[in-house]
Amino acid sequence: MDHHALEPDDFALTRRDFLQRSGMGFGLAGLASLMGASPSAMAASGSSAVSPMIAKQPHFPAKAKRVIHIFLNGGLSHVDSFDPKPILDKYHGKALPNQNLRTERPTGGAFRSPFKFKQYGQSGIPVSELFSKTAEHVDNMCIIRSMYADVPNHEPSLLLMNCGESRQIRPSFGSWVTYGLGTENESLPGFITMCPGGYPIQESQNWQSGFLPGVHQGTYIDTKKTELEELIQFIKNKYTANADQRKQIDLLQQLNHRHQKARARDAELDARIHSFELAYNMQMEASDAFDISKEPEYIRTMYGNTTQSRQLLIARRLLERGVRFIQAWHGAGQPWDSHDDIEDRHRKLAGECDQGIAALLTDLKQRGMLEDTLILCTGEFGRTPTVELPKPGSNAGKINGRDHNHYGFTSWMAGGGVKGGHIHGATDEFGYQAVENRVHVHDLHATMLHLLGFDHEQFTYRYAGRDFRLTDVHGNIVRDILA
Amino acid sequence: MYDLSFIKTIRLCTALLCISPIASMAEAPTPEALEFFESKVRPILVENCTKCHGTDKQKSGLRLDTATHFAKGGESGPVINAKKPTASRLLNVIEYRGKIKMPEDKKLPDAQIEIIRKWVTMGAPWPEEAGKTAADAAPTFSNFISQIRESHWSFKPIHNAPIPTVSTPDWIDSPIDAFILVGLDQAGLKPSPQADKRTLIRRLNYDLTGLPPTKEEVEAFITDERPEAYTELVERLLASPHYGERWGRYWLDVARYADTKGYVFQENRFYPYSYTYRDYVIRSFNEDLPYDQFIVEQLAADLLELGEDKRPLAALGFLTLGRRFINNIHDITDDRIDVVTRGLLGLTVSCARCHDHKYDPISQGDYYALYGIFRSTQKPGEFPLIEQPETDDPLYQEFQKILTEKRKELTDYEADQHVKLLNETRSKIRAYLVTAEEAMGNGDVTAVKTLAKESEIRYQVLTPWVTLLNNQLKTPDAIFRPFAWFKALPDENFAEAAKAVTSKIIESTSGDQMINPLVRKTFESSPASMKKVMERYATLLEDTDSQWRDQLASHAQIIVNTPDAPIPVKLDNTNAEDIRQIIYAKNSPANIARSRLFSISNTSIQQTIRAKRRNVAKHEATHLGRPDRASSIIDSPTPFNPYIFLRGKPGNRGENVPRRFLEVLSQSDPIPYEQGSGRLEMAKAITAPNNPLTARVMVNRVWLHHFGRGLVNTPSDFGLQGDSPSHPELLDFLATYFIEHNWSVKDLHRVMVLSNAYRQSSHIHEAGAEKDIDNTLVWRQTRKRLDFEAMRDSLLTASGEIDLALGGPPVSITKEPSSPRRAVYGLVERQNMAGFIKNFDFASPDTHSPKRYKTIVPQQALFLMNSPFVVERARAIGKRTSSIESLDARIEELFEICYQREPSPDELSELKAFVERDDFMQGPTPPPEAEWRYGYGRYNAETQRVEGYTKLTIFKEGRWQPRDTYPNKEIGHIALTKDGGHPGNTTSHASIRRWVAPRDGRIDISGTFKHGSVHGDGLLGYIVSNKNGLLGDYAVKKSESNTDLNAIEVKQCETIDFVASPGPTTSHDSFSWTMRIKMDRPANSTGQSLQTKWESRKDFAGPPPSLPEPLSPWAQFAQVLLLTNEFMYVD
Repeated sequence: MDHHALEPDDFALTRRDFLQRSGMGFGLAGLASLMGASPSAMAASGSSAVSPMIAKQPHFPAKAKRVIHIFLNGGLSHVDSFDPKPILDKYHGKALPNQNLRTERPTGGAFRSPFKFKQYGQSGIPVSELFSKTAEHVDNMCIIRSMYADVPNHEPSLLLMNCGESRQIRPSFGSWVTYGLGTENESLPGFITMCPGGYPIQESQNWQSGFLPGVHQGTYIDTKKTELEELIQFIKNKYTANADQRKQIDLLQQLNHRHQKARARDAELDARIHSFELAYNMQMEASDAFDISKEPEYIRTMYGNTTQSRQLLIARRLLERGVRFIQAWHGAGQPWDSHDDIEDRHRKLAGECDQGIAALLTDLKQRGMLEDTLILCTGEFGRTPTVELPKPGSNAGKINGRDHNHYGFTSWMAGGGVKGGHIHGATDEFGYQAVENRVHVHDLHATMLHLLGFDHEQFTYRYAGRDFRLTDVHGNIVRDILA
Repeated sequence: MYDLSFIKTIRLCTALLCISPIASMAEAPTPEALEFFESKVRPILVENCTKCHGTDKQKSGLRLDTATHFAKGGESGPVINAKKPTASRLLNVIEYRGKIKMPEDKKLPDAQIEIIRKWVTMGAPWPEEAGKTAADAAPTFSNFISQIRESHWSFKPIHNAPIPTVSTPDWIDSPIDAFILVGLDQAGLKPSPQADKRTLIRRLNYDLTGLPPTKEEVEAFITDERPEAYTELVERLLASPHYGERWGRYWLDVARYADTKGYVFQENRFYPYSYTYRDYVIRSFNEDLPYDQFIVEQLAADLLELGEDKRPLAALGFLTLGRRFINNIHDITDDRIDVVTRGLLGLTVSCARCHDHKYDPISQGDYYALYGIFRSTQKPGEFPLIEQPETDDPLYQEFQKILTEKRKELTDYEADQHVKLLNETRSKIRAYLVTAEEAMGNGDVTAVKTLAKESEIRYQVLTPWVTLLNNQLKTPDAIFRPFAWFKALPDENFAEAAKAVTSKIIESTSGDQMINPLVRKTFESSPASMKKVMERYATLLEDTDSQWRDQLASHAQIIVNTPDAPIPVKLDNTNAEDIRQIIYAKNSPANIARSRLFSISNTSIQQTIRAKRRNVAKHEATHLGRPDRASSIIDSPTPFNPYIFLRGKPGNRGENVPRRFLEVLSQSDPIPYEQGSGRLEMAKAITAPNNPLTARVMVNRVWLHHFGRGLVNTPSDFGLQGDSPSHPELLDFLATYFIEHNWSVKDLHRVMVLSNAYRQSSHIHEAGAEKDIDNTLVWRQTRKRLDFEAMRDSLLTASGEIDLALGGPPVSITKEPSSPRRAVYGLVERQNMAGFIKNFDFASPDTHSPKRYKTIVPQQALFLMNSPFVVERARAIGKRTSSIESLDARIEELFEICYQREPSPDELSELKAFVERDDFMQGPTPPPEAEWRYGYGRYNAETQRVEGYTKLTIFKEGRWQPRDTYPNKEIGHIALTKDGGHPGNTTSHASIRRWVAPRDGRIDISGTFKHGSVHGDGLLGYIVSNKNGLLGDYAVKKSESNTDLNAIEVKQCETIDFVASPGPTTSHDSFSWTMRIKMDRPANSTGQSLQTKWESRKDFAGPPPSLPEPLSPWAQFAQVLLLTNEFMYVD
């Protein structure tokens, strides 16, 4: 057995060829499970060609089948949310005993959290008033207080969080997942990334497919828009009545079948015929998935009426329909980047999403989906426990905000095989840097892949002469947080 | 598999063991010491360290599992300090004393640290493993390279094999056929029969030009029975200018071409002259530029003697048009190494950025040798013109004029800011001198920055002052000598000690201790502190500066009368002039160079400069009058002498390497490059006829596009991990042929497409499917789906709209109306490429694309079914054939347009059934009209009804109004806005906001009607139902009225009008009237989604977007033909 990762050609081969030729870098276990790949889906399609999106089995039985990443882009302050540091009250306005760590901009003395913390749930985990509603679910949440990244700048940290590499072109997490698992519903894109109002910093590179086939790139959706055709390109035909379009497709398939008869054994032709049926269905499926007015009023009320909560409700509908990976960004640019006025800004931002996040957790739990849906909530880094000092032009210089902090921050996960009501790791007494059971972003990725059923060291793609992985040459599974 | 990690380590060990003190100590450890190691130390290492520093992983290059590895240490050398064991790095790290703390997650218990400490002080004894001495180490990496050079097929010289004899000599039309047939013979397969002529002409057209043949061309070819018809067709297509567009685009995949830079943050994202490279590539293919020359120009055109024709300079876009990585030089260089080595040599050299290649014979030294070459280049000051612009072209003149203006805006602004900066710096000379003295000897950057901030001066300007003062301490001059003397005094009792210095100063009037008289004067009295010393200097400088400014000012006065009066260049008093030089000399810290302006300025000035630079760049990148320039590079004045970046980290310096070619492709030790960067030397090494890779790689690429699969199926990886060639002798035959035919790509096409192998049918027969499903042996031709470009070009060809113009700046192909140019001229957006283009497997411009993916996903079908682009093409085809009256004839015409053939009788009847249907609908159902309507009319108090309701038809500036002009003479200011509006001139022109009940139900209305002006006589408001008449009436005058109504039963389609009618006069009748309507949900509506709330303000909107014209039955029919597999596949 040679190495053989998927090659471009493989995407157009018959199932048999495919099995003969590829190990996908999964090794034999992966191959075996591929052979069992969702036969019903194939039978239903009447096609023997392998779609790149067909549902596949991972290396070993997975705890999580799908992922939603709630991205608090710009950087949530951990000491104001999930990592209380009462000692900052004592030092407020004074220098910390040790020198401040070097971050993007100069910072001064300690800055106490303007938010009140309270213990929640059986586990009694303290959470600040910012996330008082989400905190009601704390017994389902695993709070990693010892995250760290590499540098205190947005661009590289975003790429690290999303693609496991801070500068070079690498596929994003979501594209790895659809590459490895396909999707459970081919009538919808497998990887959807939602961001209201425009792109975040570093733009579409955050959900790039890199060297994986373009179909694995995240489908970007501006959830500030409400018209379906603005959400998914070409999902609606504005020129032809639906019944007429059905007749068009029928005629098309008639012509195609006639064409195919003289061209036996070409699975690719078959696959293309099938793709039109999928596309036709996708039009209905997508309309339905994005139409939250179909939700009963009590559900919509539960989520609340902000752009972020609306987007999370859409996300739930998509997850329910088998979309594999969803990213819900808080907003365009870097909304959580509170260099100034952190009290007002963080309060406003949390106000926009707290209810929606809490509702999503309730909703998934009610539907029995929390068990196999992995929820990740994190920014690209955290913020300093010290106050940011003015720097000409770079902020308003109000001395009431915090700078970026990659030395230590909090991410939390819930559902899909993680321990609930659990705190993992710790930052130092001031919250400056992760010191106990430190978790690098690579470790987070390794752990998430593990939950999805992949050995992150075996889950590779051959490109430019070597096998690439999401975790590059790094990453340790954080076993302590596995349920 | 060759275990390279092992070899590498051993190689380094051999070198290091000789010098490592540990090694000598370890030679004879006592048994007790070894016992201590085994029982106490090794367990700690195994438990805590070897997971990351062992056989599997070697973080920082360090292994702590064997004596040899341990002795060698990590990348930064041994971890034990033999001379001073307690200062060993190992101890530093485990004791958490420095920046690096190990183990990372938790410090070792003190007892264990103590054990390690003891062991280290013993000299770190470690028993040598049996049989694992450095002496019998495996070969070095260099040996590995020469071994692979001998053994791996792609590094062996190209071997021109004799053309084999075969079973069916009749089948041999080209030597290629013999090589193919041998393979088939061996496998017991027969070649497929030749494809029919219609298939052949279509195949050739697409393969060579990316465009379909016309119906006439097909007919002519089919009827031409001469044997040379085929050859002539090949020649005609090779001579077509569209050949270069097709094959040039394949090359652009290799060259990871794009028109934008990737993520750039605040720069302009467009490359201004990317298209000149694209056009260069197209032209080179069309002109059949020899491939070796093509490569040399792309790597080093700037170093060639070009003569008059400067167009080859554009070739350098091959290097320059990659992603910019936010201008990170290392990543840009890496990208260039990758595009050159994978693109031209089929080698993955960039794998060796951080370590020797894991599989291939490429050392990290090889990588940095090339790195040095590319690092020794830079962007020219201005991109060179490749054609002289036509200076009398008005478009060009306009371009130049705007360019000059925009550049001037930038330079004026910079000059202005520069003057401000200089003035500021000189005006703060006191603060600079005092603070600089304070900062002397303070190595803490942050502290110095804080000092600067407190004194409100700039850190970047302060540091040169500190340097100046430090230099003056060492070698004081006539001005700063007193400073040096004072500075030497202790802080304590400074004032006392200063007195003696002061006397000495006063006496120093000559000799080598001479002091400038003006300075002497300054120190006639003794200063009390260093701060005072600095302040006196400051006063002296300030006074001198003001003398100088006075002199300049009086010069300004003088030239009013005496224009020729010379500009003063110095102060007359030499002593004063010497002092003036402190702040005006070219190298004075106060005389900040203009080039430093940007980095010193605050963010808002930087933003302005950036914006102005962007303006210039955008103008240059987009104005159509810009002359063509080359995105070229030049050699830097001083070449960069490379060294290895350990683990790829720039700060982590390893051994030096010369700029040179790859060792594996050099016969002996590679010769260091001498000519500038070495690019030209490298280009020549790549194109040397004895380079075994270059020709093979290119021949394989051409084969790939003709046969759908490469002879080597990993076209950009000919290394040990790449696939072996399916037909090695054929590959070598073609490579030789290529070189011998003067690297002519067109000759390569000829030899390939004239072969019988190429002309085979693409039909998959059973025997072939059984024995060789992948068609590795080429028992048939490959059926190919049109790639994105060919698809788009074919759609435009079918609709008759295609514009076949050549070259020029990129055009937009992502939005309607889309350009009718060929897709190759579409803007390639590197960062946010349109999703549908990606969905069709277009080459990712982020990295070099060896071949296109071939995915089939529903998103492709959606584009074809629903996108305006395809729909409009279908519509155009419908129109194109609209004059044909007969049903049959029109279907036949459509068939010929799309497929260049006639329909069969069966097809004809099927298709007729489609067009003869009478159930066509005229497009999708338009969305229902909104519940809110806007109009005017009259409220009739007698009938209690609204009369003469007329819709307001014009929506402008957020206002519904009756006519285009506003206000309108005839009916006045009548309008409705989201908050309220204005009635017209008479009661017949009351403004009416109408709500139409969508269903039966009960509603509550809440609202406020308000007349806000202090003038006028107010308005009357009515709420009127068309079924039940007046529901409420209100009068407002400088007042407001609540207009709530509860529990009103309404029927579906009943209208509720909110009528605002003028009082007796119509002036000052602006009103606001917003209302909410709440409707209950019918009892039986569970599960239905029903709107229950309306808000006049929130729901206010202009007219709905007009619907596009629906597709006619014939256009729908045409669209179906465009979507078929027959249209989209080439047999």
